[in-house]
Amino acid sequence: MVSRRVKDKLVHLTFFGIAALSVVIISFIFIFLFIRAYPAIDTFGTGLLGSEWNVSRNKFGLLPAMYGSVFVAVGALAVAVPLGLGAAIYLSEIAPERVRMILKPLIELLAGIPSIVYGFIGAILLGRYLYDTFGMRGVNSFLAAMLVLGIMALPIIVSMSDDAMKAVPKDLKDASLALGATRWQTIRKVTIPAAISGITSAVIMGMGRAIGETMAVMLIIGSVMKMPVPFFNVFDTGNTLTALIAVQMGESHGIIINVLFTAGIMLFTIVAVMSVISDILQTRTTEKFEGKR
Amino acid sequence: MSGRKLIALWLFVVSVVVALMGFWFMATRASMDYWVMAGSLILISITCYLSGVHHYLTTKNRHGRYIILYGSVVLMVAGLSIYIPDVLDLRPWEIYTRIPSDFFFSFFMLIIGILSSYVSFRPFHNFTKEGAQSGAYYIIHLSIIFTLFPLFLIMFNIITRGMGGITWEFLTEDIVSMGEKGGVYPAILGTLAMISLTAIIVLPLGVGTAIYLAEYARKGLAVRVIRTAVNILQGTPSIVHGLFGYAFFVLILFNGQKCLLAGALTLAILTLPIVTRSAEEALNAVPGELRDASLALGATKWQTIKKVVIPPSMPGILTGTVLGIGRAAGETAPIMFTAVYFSGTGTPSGLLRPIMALPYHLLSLYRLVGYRDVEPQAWATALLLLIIVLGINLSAIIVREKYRQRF
Amino acid sequence: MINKVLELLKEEKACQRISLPPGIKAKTSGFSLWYGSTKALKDINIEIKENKVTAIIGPSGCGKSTLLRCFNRMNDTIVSVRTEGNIWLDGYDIYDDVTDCVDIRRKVGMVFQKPNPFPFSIANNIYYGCQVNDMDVEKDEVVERCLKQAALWEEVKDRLSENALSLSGGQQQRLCIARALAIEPEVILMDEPCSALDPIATAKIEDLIHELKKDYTVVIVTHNMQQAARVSDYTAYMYLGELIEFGKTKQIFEKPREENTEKYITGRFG
Ligand SMILES: Nc1ncnc2c1ncn2[C@@H]1O[C@H](COP(=O)(O)OP(=O)(O)O)[C@@H](O)[C@H]1O
Ligand SMILES: [Mg+2]
Repeated sequence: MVSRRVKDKLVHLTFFGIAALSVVIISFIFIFLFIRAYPAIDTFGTGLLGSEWNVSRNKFGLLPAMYGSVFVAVGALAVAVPLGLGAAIYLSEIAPERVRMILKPLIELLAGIPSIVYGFIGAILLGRYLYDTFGMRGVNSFLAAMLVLGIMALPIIVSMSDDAMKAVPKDLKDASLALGATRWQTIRKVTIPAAISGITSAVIMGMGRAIGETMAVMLIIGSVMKMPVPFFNVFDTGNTLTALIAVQMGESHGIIINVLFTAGIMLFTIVAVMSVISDILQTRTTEKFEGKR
Repeated sequence: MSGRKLIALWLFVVSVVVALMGFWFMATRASMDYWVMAGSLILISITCYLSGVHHYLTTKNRHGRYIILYGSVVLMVAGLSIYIPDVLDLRPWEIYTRIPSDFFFSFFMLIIGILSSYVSFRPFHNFTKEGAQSGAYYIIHLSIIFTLFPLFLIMFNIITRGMGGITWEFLTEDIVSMGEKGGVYPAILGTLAMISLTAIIVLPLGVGTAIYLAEYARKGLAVRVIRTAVNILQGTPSIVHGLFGYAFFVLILFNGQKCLLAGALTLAILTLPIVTRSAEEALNAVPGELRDASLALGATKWQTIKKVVIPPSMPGILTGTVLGIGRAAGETAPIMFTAVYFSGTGTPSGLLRPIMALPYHLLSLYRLVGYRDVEPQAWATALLLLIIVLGINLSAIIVREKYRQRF
Repeated sequence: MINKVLELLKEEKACQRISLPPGIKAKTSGFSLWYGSTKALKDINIEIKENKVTAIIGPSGCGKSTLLRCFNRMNDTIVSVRTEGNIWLDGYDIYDDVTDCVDIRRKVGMVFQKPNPFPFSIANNIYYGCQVNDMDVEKDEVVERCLKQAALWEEVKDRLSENALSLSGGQQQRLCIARALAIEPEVILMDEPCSALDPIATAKIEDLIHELKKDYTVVIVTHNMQQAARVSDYTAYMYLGELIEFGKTKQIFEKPREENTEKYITGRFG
């Protein structure tokens, strides 16, 4: 029966084709963003990296938005990393199995809340609270964006760090306990160091999430195309690459659209590089323990 | 009764009360007297001194000096705070902010309260490593509480503020005057249509990719590239998906027409890695012996996959798809350039026609807050969206937990 | 609630103490252990002699490892475990409520079945125990002493800062022994320490055990009867969670009192 073998081969090819689609999509994203971005790159060149954004003077420097993206993400991590690590340690090392079974889905639920809802609540409740407390100029600020993004980055950091620490073999932890270490000493000196590349990868993914987040930021950052003054002023307003694109796409014409696509490419590149690094670190953790023992 | 433990417990209780008070004052922005804060801190530092001195007197070893040092720091914070002006105005330094002293006072109470309750574990366990462990565990428990706290805060606010707005009319009536009146019926229909279409598109692609990765792929360059692509796709910001959907689907495939199909295709790309990953996990959970058994009976690989591998992993595959759909239902950025125009778009009328969707409707409403009286409608829309998205996710999670221990 | 708080505030009691006969390091009396509802150890009574090697043998699944792990309360890490009876170490009841299992583990070192060095440098692996126990020692001295005691010094003295995972399996296991020695324990528990090693590495570890008994009390679990006969002074034979026979190794191997023991030793066992 030739047909059975041929059919099997065909099925194999079909699945390969479907799987390869992901690669095609990634290339298409890059190609089509680039096609739309090209006129702007061609016209302005390195001017796109400048710090002045002034439509009437035909200046489209993306630096304030790039800085804003990074600034917000760093602030978000300052909120999310300590909390998230603590929560991950609790889940993977301390929580009884029954509690873990409840908390893990709850944290996933936190990840499921749509970002527009975060943005809405952040702007209406948190923004107003900060405005009243600190007497700022308006409800929008970097601080509000950092807090909201921190909360949004928490679930990914918690669940990836939890996985990394769960992957540390039990016999290493047992060895430490047998040497007279307390469970906390074991966590601090064995589990965390052994899982460090997985934890780092979690932090990078959290940062990627914070940089790529759009709707929540757009509602609370102020969307003012300027650097915060002074540069570390969390009470000031500003812009991020994502918010810039989201706000301007609907309102702009002509070359500005191309500039926005350039911003999109920057965003895509930054986050793609972060995904790849995070991925390498993660496989390194699993290989460290699976390959060797 | 142990005096050492009694003092430590007292320190713990006082600190927790002070922290809670600080938290309460901060949350309510109550006006605060300097002496409320200073009094609490002085009480804490006195207890620290007591604990340290008691430790020295009973054991003659000098571990207690750390807690005395800590007590002094607390006392210093209390003392120096008297120099905090009523309103700290940062405007001379070009920072447009005026922070009232109440904020600093309640903030200090919160922070020092938490720190002191942490410190109290040391004397309680006689400065052994067990004390370090209990203290660390205490902080870890606090961080899980603070992690879940926003979840409850968000839920609580949305439910209490949105409940009233969800009425039969709200669910079934057309959007009138940009959402100020009427309901959200077209947006609900639009979202449902879009996520159903997304599911139909993404299911075969995601499961196909997963089958290739789990069943056919051997180690090699091609597989590495595919895996990397899936990972990058998973991390890609949704606004980038939106840009791509606009540049490719809208501008090239559909002649500049924003439409249901363009939005669903964009969302399918967004959910593809989610579906792939969960489906792959489900396929990998099927034990290898089952495959070997089937192959040994003369079945081809495809027959084995179809008859032996897929049926038991079906719950896992569906869970992944549903999780992906839950994500798609709440996304705004990918659809705002590809599928929606504005609030008056109406009910979905065809694959190549634009639609309205709930998340985008919430955005439009938010933009009107302050200009028109739409806040109640916005809260109700947020609640509705949350119910739909979390309902989808919850059902997926429940199915997954139920079928988890199959092998 | 109030009672709980009062209980918490009580001063720690001192541990119960009995005096053991001279030459006896540890002793169990009427010790049973359950994993959930299955009883894995049934009424074990055994005496561990000081500065001797005691071997525990028996078919797999009979509870050898479980018994061994009772001596340093490693079973506490398994949630479902419940115990009954006492184990005395130097006259202290290690299953007393007030006993801290962390202190026990400092006195009772353990070597596991699979070599499990930490993914740190060789030196840090050894120094780890001193660190977590706040021991006031020089790192270099401890590292050298322990590696020499474990007969590993010559092989690794030039690569102390290399990752321990780069050692071979036999070297890793000797490193784990050296690591256990660093905290200056009095008893060393070994759970089939050679089962993952080749014959040459096994021989090295067996020599090492001979050396160790001068300073330490050793309890070793093995499924290899020749090994038990070679290294031990006393042998315990277990079957289905019960201690069937315990005595001098020579006696157990040459004229066992129980029929079951004889069957196992002569290999006529199912
Ligand atoms: N963590 C555990 N949970 C439940 N049962 C266990 C666990 N560890 C061991 N057992 C059971 O206890 C019995 C004794 O196991 P073990 O002491 O490991 O045997 P041995 O080391 O002699 O091979 C076995 O029947 C085993 O199934
Ligand atoms: Mg065993």
